[in-house]
Amino acid sequence: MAAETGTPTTLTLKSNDDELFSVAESAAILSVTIRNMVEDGCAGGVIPLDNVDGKTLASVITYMNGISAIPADEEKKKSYRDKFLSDKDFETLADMVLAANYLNMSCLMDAVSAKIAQVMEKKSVGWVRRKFGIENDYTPEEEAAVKEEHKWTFEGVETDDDN
Amino acid sequence: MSTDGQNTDRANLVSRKRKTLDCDSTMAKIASASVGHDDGSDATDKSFSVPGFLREFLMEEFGGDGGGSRHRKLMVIATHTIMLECGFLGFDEKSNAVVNGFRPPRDWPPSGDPFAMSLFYTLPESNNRPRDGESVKNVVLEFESSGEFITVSGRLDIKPGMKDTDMVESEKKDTDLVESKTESEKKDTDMVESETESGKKDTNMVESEKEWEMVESEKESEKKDTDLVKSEKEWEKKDTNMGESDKEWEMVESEKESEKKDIDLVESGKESEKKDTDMVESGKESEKKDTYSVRMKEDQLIPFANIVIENKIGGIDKRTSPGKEVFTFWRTIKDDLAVPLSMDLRYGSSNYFMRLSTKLKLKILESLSVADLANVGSVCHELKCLASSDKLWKSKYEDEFDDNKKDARVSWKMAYRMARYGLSNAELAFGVVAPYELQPYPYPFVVPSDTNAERDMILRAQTYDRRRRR
Repeated sequence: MAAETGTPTTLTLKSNDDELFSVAESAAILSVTIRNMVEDGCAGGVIPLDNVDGKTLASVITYMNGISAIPADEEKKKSYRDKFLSDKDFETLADMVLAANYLNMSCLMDAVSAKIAQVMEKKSVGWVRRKFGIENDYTPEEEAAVKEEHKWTFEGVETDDDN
Repeated sequence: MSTDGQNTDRANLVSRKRKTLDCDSTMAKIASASVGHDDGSDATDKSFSVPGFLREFLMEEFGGDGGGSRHRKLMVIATHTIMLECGFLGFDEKSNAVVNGFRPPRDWPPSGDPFAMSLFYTLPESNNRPRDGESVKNVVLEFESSGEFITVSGRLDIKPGMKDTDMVESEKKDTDLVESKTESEKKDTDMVESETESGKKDTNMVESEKEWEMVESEKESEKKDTDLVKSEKEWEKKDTNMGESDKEWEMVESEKESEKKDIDLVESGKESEKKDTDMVESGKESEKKDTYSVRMKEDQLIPFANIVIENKIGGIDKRTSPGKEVFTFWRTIKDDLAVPLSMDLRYGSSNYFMRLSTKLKLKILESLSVADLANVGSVCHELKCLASSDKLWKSKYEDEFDDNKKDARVSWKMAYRMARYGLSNAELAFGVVAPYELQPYPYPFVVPSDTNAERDMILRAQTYDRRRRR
């Protein structure tokens, strides 16, 4: 353990496509899933993470390292998170939500879902459909009814045209 | 499979065996197999238990055709069955028609190396609703032998020159590009407005939005350049972060290569992707993402085949259950090929959002404003139900109105709406606001939060109305 040797303990994480990553225990335990494993003494050797692929895990570890390097300062952490997520494309974000959920990392989870939500903000219905590849399963009448039903929410809000 | 089913199987086997003896060429055998299957034996049509079906076809297939190609054929047929089991329908790419029922592949390639063939599938839903100018969407499975491995890879089948869905989509998106630029400009101003709220986010976010648009459009026009640069960036990042572990990692990788060959019966998907330690190669990632592949060592298929054959020959002997191997095979094909392919076919390969679980979708929707929620609800049925979720609106309500309300009369969405406009239930029911939301949801999977309260409310409103008219 870290305390005994004086050097930080590192854990080895294995992605579902068999990539191995070393990460400091102090950073890795941001994930409740990993923390539980460590506490249960199951963290010796390699920790297999069956639901995370290598690319995503690399991202997540970057985040773990980054955020754990910041002392308890919510403002700074927040700005780190914003910066960290700013260059991720939607696909990566979706993968990260899944990973964060699996790893039980609430802070990353919140940040990523907020970021994904931000993609949808103030977008037209058509845009969301195309961007997310969602098929319109409404009949024209149903769609009109749904729009009508939601009219009240748009008071005082400008939305983009339905393009 | 029940005993009855097995007996039927066996009866079929016997009759087929006779047929097999009569026929000479493999082709004729396969033809007769498919005809025979279509004519009768409903029992096997309905239940594609892997061993049961394999046994049947082995009789047909391996009668005169032993050696190298038989385990390949076995694998192709097994994969075919699993695909059908997962809801796919066979698809004839030449006539653009759906092949109903179970038909084995007909055009076997000549046996011997290299072995390569393709099978096409589609889904019932996507076939029922072909829009104008679109061909039926389908997926293609490609079997390929390379050395001692046989690889099955599946992807959406996009035919160049045909007006495919994806083609239409990408055309649309091209024109949208201009629009989306103006959109992102708009966003600029929006963001500036919300600056006070969201603090430091602004510039980063606007930039990243643009970048997304760019990335998307460039993917669309199939320029891999930015992707490459992007993934290079990512890899650089990883390099700096992972500095130390890198070497170790590569070593492990090469070890793993050799180990794998020995141990694994089945090497599952995305393999080539993960081995791309080389930066340049990782540029191809976006392309590979849409292709799912399963690779098997041919040697490993032989015991697999043998077990099944033994099972057939041994007849009643159930001790040699092929359970484990067959199950592994089945699970791998299903999880790594069939399921992701059917998701792609249903939602298009770019749909990362709809693939998330309901819980995660809700989590994401939580961060949306009321207007955005309504907007998202207009996208499709599923999102409407999600965006109407009580939990979501309860938190919206609690954020906005500080009255410690414990219980919404109808739904929290209604409660929110009423609180926002200061309306009472009665006013609402009188048509001050269109009572759309009082109608029960037409969707079977949505349970209104409190049906009794709803009915109650309508009734009370009606009596009140009557009284007032008098």
